[in-house]
Amino acid sequence: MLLQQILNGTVSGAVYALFALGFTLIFGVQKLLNLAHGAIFMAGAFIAYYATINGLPFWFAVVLAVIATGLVSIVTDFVAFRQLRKQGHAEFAAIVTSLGVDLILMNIAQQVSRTQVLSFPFGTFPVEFYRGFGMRISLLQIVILVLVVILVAALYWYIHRTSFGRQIRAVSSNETTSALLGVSSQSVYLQTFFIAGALAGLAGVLIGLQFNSIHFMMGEPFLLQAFVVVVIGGLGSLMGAVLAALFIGIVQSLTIAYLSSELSIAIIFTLLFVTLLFFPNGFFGKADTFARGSRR
Amino acid sequence: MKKSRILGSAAVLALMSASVASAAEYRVIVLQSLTGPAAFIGAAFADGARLAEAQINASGVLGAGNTLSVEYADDATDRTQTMSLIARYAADPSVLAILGPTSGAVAVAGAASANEMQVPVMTTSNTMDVLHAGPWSFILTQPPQVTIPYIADYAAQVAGVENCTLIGIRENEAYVTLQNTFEESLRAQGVNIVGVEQIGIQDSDFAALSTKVASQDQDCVFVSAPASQAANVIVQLRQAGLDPEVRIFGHNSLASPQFVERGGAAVEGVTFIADWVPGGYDDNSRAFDAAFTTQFGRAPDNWNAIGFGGLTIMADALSRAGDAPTRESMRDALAATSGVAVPAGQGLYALDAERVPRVGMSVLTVQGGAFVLAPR
Repeated sequence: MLLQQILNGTVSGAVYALFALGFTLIFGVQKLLNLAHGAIFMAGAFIAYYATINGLPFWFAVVLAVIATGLVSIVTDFVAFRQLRKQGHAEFAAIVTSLGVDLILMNIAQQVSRTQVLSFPFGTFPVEFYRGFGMRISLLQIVILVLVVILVAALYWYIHRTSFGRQIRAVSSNETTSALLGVSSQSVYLQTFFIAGALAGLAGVLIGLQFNSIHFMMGEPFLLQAFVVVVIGGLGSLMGAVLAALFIGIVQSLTIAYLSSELSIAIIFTLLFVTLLFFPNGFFGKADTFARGSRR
Repeated sequence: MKKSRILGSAAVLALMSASVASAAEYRVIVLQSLTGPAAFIGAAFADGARLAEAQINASGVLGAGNTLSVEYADDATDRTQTMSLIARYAADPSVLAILGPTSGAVAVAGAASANEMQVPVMTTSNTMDVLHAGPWSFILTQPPQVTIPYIADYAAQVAGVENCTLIGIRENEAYVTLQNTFEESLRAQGVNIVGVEQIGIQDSDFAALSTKVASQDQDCVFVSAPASQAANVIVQLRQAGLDPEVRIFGHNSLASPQFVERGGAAVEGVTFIADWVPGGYDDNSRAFDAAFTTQFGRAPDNWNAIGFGGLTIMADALSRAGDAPTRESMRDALAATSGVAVPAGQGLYALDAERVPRVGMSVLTVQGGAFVLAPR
């Protein structure tokens, strides 16, 4: 059972990573906690679901959801953050405005779904299981793991190896200086919000598919988990978010398996508490931030 | 001639004004969790109540010209909001009764306020604490002490289970009570409880839990969760390799079309109790099923049926509360409720001497994707 539980935790952690990457990306660039991220994640699942049941091919529904949530994320920036940035007091007020967007999106989803729990039709994705080393792994779990590895690598490459990425890192380091050097901060914000929203949307589709459940409040527990992940990993650190997400996923699985399902949340938040006591910036908060990348 | 015409006209006017004066509008509040964690109950309940409202007013059951005026309010699964709404409605003398609030702790807090302000409330929650709060508060649904023995006795005596694992949501007091009552009832009948696992009401990832449960030695699993989530748990239990011989049981929340829609083949053979038998079990409940499906474009579930029944019970009390119902007469009429035909349950709805609802339960199982009475 141990290997199976580590595998379960790794898959859960991989999806947490996908979700948390967007969350930490926005924080890394703008120093903002985007509390609408959970609702954008939920919107991804909803868009893919309604596209699928209206006859669109599943692959197309996924692409549509990813693009649409990227755009929703940009709109979120426009309505919740842009004005606050201009006024120069974005950090605290943004928590309130993004919470407002979160509630609006959830309310829309609740009205659309009439509070029902939805799920993709049977057969949307092949249900196949493979066995080996005493473990069972589904085709979907394999796809999730591969997809997350590819996306994390692609995002890392984009941030650290492209000129767009350099601009993102420059703005995250110092917006005023980068503007003097000709970097358009608006373009950077558009990119980061689109990427963050698209990642959240994809995570929503994968979760909705894997766990057979799409609900207007499905983003809230993930937002809480993502918060723990990015704090433990180090706010603004991509690598920290990925490693912390995998760590949290595995710890959660092993807690449920060997201690008690009641304790899993308590243990996760105890880890958060202990981490903050001894590593106030998280494990990778200083070692791997965008700012450091830009100085390199 | 002229004098008689004048007298005739006066008589007609007098009759007309008397008729207008006698036409009354009875105001009832449906205070449910339309948002928040218990919205899956409250929103469905409100849909059922809306259908009942339309039928009550179309039928003229409250007397010629009299209408039931229902206002739908959101307790948001929040105690503060609930208490403030109850205070607001209690201050409005036109409000005769409140159907709600929805869930456990919110309902208990609401019941306390209602007793203080002397306005009748009938909560969706079945916690007995609502009754203990005073004579102005009632529970609409049967408490676990009444319902759970139907399924616990079936598991222990008919299915003959010996080792059972329990899985249930932890945030909703009603669900926790249902699970605890099942556990106590099984233990009292000599069944060993292998483990008790808790899940969050918004959880969807049960992979770790399923792997753990599937590796245990048991012949019974009891799932205490809303229909969609329970189906999801069962799907993941099957995917984790749960022995197909293990019997799976649940309570009345599983009596929803969503359970089969979400669970598919994985929920075949799952056995549970039901207030609501999908499709209906008699003429009255079949008529409700047809009307609801026509109005909402989907088949009703347990909470839709309970919502419909709740407003029907309110209308019945109004019809017995005198020509000019007051809150006192509504309270007394509610307490004397007996023989009301509702779609949920197994016959006629009544409150016993302790104000505990009695309407019966059925034991159902999933067979070929449909709910059928479980074999005895």
